[in-house]
Amino acid sequence: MKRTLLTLALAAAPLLALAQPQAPQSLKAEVNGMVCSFCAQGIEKRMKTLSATQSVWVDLKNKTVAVEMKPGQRIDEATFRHEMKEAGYDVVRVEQVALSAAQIRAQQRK
Amino acid sequence: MRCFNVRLLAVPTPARRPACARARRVRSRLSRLLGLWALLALPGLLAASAARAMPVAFTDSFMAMTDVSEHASEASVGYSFRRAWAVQAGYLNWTRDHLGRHPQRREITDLHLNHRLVRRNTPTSQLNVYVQAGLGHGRASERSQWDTVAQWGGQIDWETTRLYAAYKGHRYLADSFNHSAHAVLGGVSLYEVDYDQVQPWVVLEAKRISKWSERTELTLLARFIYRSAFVELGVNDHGQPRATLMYIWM
Repeated sequence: MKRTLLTLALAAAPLLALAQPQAPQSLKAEVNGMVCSFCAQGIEKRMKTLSATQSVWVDLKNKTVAVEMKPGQRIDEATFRHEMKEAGYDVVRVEQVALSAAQIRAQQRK
Repeated sequence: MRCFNVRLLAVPTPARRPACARARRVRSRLSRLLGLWALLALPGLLAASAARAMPVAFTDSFMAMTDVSEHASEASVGYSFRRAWAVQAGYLNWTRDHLGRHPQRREITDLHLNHRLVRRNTPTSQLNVYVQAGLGHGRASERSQWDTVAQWGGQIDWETTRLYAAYKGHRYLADSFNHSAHAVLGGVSLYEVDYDQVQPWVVLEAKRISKWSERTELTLLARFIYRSAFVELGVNDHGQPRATLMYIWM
């Protein structure tokens, strides 16, 4: 009986893990040169060409760009830096955070 | 050979050699073909001196620009085919009342290549240096024929979230005219804004065109920027209005 219960629990564990909502993942970067939205809108447009992009937030005041990735998908740092370069900007630093673009935006606006 | 000299020829027609006349006809036809292609590439809008304001956008983007005032109109459409490069088709039209006589006019259509030589990004500013060169065809109202026009120029601009400064220079060279256009601009934004807000600017432009302008023209402009849209409304020191529109898309 105990053995049966243990086997069932082990079998159900992966299914339970899949059923848990995954925390959003975003790339948050400090970017130089963002001085107006007319220039910086290229960042949003270039990032949205990537299939893994869920949403993009550009913050001129805090010199920040946040790109939220679709669940289970990833944008590597090299690709991110390349797209920023194509948009005409320089990335100072980039990190992956477990936040959505909207959460990052709300944080920046506090 | 003398017939390939782009400067205005002083030799009367009967004295010209037949080979030179044929060469001129060929150049004239080529000019019309170039101009026709440039015209077909246009959205049918008017022309823009502001077309020179952002010659290169981001990779794989299109940009349309138009500028209208009482004595000038411009329009262009461009495509940034790779980082720091763009190809642009343009139309330019200047008119003036010269010495109380019949109005004089310059019309140019051309295709040109724009290159961003320098971009310097800092945490608080952006500096750009652009160069541009192109060929097309143009006409002076004093002569009825269309000529090949060579044009080249450059632009340097520097901007923060609150300040803007730029210099733009262009040369237009054809058999029937030779002009240099220079403009200096300075602007200030009333306040900083977020990415999703309209940003208002006040900009002052001083512009002069050699062998054309009787004086330096000053224009006061209200500039509004919102993401892909750029709008300027202004009036010069003669009370003449001007409007500029730019739009970028992908």
